Amino acid sequence: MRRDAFGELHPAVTFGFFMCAVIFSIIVQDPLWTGASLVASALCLVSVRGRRAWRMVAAMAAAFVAIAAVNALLNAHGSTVLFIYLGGRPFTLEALLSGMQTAGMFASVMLWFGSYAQVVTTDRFTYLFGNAAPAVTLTLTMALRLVPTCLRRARRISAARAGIGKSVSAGSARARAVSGLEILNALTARSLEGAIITADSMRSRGYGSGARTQMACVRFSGRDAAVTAAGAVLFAGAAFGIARGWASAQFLPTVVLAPPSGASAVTLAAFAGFLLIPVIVNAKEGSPWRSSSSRI
Amino acid sequence: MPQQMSADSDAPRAGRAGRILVWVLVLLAAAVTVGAGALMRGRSYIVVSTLLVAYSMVPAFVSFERRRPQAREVVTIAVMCALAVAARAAFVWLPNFKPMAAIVMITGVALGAPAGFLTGSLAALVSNFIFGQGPWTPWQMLSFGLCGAVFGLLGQCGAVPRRGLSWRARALLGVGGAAFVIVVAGPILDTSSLLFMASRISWESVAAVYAAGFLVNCLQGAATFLTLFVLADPLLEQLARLRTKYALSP
Repeated sequence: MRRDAFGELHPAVTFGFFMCAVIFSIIVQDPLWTGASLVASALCLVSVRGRRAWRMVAAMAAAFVAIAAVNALLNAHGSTVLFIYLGGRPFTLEALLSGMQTAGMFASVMLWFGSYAQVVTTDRFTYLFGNAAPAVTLTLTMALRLVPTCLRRARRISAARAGIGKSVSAGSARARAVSGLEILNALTARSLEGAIITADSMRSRGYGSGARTQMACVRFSGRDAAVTAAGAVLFAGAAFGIARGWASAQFLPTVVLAPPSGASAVTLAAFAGFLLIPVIVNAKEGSPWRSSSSRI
Repeated sequence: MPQQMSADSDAPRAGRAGRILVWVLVLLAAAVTVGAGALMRGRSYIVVSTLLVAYSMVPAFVSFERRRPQAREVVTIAVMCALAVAARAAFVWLPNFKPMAAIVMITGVALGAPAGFLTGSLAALVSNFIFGQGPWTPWQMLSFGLCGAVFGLLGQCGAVPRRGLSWRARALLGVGGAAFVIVVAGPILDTSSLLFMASRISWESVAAVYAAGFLVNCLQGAATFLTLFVLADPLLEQLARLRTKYALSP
């Protein structure tokens, strides 16, 4: 059994963390900073998803190569020509580095959202916005619940039509497209009729008769406060370094990085520490769990 | 419902003041974001533009909240969202055939611009809950929300009939929907790809991204045309029946 300690934190903490992590990963340009974000996002995904994470990490490695290559090919600027292709178009080192940096940014953002999907599940997301926007959140919750229902109904309608010889898997492409649209038509009629019944049932149970209350399944605990405080300090350190320009870089026409200094190294460490919060929280929770389970 | 009538008696004035306040707050937030982005330098323009896209949707959501929608309205919008997302399942054997934009447009025509915007933006959000959220989520929400809002306005001003479409009207609506997908909704999504995948905004990268997007958008436009042409009339009829039978708003 795996315990996901980071996922059990308050949704506001985890949602806030992922938004900050994504924004940081997009803004930084220095290869060291982007690399730190890329490594941290992959570690985070492995930490929250376990073995199932590797498939996405592999897919992102492929996307990294593709995006870096396309960007380098589309960019003829840069001073160090590596080789010439297509009768005179230069392939430059700077364009390649710049493409790799963009690909790293893209891959790390995708990996952060991979962990996000695992941690900030729909119930936590709707809990987070349920107080601020009750009507929109209710609509969202109902729509999320209705999608599988609609799919089930669509399958039933399609099976019934196949029974009378109107299968979507037979006939010309045009006939099949029209057949699909007819399923959609029947599905809409069925679902809208059900919608009114649901709405009347909601009204008779008192929807809209008073102020909405929210059932809180989570509470802001001491652990949430500790993680938030540590995160705020690390965030401030990283943001200071970014605002001073230590994470900026120029790739074209020549590579110009911020000169390394002790202070910039400290802010880079704060940046990496901030992004590693999920991994640290999970490792801290996991180690006593592992040692106690090994004794059994 | 006498209670609601009295509660809404001075709603117009309070409503207008509230709307202005929301817009002022949104513009303030936008100004602060642009300022912070300028300080942060680097690639902050990506974050700033995505946040501005997200802010632009706030007034629509706030006005839905302030209206205190009835249960029937909430459920109808939720059902149309779910249908727009699930519609893809009816066409699994036709890859890339996505009737989502067309269903959002039909909802907009039948239920008005605000409901259309909400249906489109929430359908994009729901679809991303299933297929994975990403930095493109706000852009997709805006893109599909606009599909609903623009066709909602066309329905409200009578440019698109809300029931009993002639064959000519169906064809025109289909062409209009396809054109909107190719010219507005698709390029909004391409802009987010450009921001997140191009290392440098140059003529070459802009041309490459929008040209690649144009082909996909044409496919989506064709799907939108076909769906609107075949489905707009029966679906509008169903929604019109719902409006008159159950006295749904607009």
